[in-house]
Amino acid sequence: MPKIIIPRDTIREIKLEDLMENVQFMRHSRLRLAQICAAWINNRYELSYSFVDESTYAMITLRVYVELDQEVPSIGVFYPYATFYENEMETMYGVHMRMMHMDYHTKLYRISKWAAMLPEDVRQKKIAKDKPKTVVPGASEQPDQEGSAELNAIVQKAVPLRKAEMKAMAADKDIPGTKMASSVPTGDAGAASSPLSERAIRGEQMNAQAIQAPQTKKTETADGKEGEQ
Amino acid sequence: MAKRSVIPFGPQHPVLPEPIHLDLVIEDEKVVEAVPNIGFVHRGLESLADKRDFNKMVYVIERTCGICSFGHGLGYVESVEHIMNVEVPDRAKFLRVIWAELGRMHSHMLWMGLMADAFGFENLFYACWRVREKILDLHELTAGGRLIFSVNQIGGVNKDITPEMMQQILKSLDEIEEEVKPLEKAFVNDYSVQSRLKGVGVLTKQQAHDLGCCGPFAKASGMSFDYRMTGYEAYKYLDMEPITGTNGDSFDRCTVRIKEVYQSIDLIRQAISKIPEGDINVPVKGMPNGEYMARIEQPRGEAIYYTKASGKKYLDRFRLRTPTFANLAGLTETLKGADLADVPILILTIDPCISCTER
Repeated sequence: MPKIIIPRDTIREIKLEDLMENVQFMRHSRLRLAQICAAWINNRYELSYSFVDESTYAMITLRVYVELDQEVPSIGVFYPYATFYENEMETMYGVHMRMMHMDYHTKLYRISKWAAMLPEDVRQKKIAKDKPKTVVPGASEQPDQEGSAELNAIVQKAVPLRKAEMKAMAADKDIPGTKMASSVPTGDAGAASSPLSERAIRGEQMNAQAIQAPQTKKTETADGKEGEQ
Repeated sequence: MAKRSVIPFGPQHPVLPEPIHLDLVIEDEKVVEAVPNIGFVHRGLESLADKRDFNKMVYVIERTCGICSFGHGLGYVESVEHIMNVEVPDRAKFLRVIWAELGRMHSHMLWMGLMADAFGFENLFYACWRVREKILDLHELTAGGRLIFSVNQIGGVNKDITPEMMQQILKSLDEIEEEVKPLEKAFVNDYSVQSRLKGVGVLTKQQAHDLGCCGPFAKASGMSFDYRMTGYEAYKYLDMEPITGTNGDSFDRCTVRIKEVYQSIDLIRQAISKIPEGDINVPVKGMPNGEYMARIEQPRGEAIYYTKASGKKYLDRFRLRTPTFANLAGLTETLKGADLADVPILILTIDPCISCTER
């Protein structure tokens, strides 16, 4: 019979105040962060931080109970890759994470419903209290109201404009009054008149903006420190 | 200072099997930084946990991914069985091992083909997938489906492998082994393949540990960590050692996966020689109550299945943490300092299964 290793799994319940201390202890014991999982059970969040020991295959889980609008600090200081799990918690369950060095602003999965995995009544209560951190540019004011009247109006207005744009591109002409023509401030208005070269100009401007602020997704932390490590 | 620009890579790209978006900040053809963006195949499968009977949930979980489908069903069923204290008969455990190892072989052959396609060697791509077809024929013979076949159920399996099928499996394994040998030579000995893979995307053992990597991606850097050593299912009766590499570059990740194919063939032969007679499932009564985190070794690494139930027909929470989600951090680290032309190769070395990642 070959030699096998039997892992021992434990779940330890801790308070939110002791979270950073415990995670620091895990880091110093050289454990690997396996997953961070959120659940909504019995009217509160249950966060599970699971760590795996490489030599004994044991899994130690820290269980933290959090209220609906309590803020949770990120453990990205000790484990930089924890931000993926924390962004997912924020997107799907609406847990308020603070001090993440890589912040997707609740849009890790680009779904229009924020905190989609909460039960519906809890979700409405949460939206009433605090909207998500930022809104995707171009969307309506409240991204979690699917099929709202304003969204439908925008879509209806855009359809004939899009048809005109396609026709003009085929004929290679400028379309007066469309969003594209008016939003691109061309330096020399005479030279660039076709929509294709306007797009090239817009690409250049986006690149220029990227050079000035290359990390468009990173954000400034709560105490004003610059984002990514 | 050199000019930096941001290039979007994906989600549609000829070399990507599944959509993933990367914003690459490049400076004169070298990648300085990469920001991954996922969520293009998100189907919200976990939120179905409180709308489906826990017995029927197996079918939903199996359809998370086509390549690792059997493994997902196995992990879910294991976690629920542990909560309900169900003892699965030994014959079912061996059958599960046979299907799991066939799945691992199939996944690695698929990956080898995609890797060959990534550096333009299309002939090798089709040769690898022709071998994969033989494995899919075995799947269809034993279970009825090529990629997604629902054989797992809580309490065992619901199909049996007859002795004639086992003889057919052994015969096919001999043929597959003969056909994989020249493919291995093409990957390991060919000069142009080596010059594209050696020294590309090096990750040291310390870095792999700090970034939380798992699976063949981490094994190639020297981390000897394989969940099959814990002896879940019938692995405690089988003889195996985890395969590790030394240098941690893309070439080692390639050779680790090829050697795992040979190891899987050996494990299936051992399982077929040791399989006992008996029942293939036990009846299960009652509702689950409790929580457990089952871990299994998928072809891509360590997958964690967390189930929480409280005595009702529906589960409270089901969470599937896939190995690709853990390897994303390692991917962004290997991309730093890489050439733009090596980006597809590096993305493929983590064996991305994005539909698992964003169930």
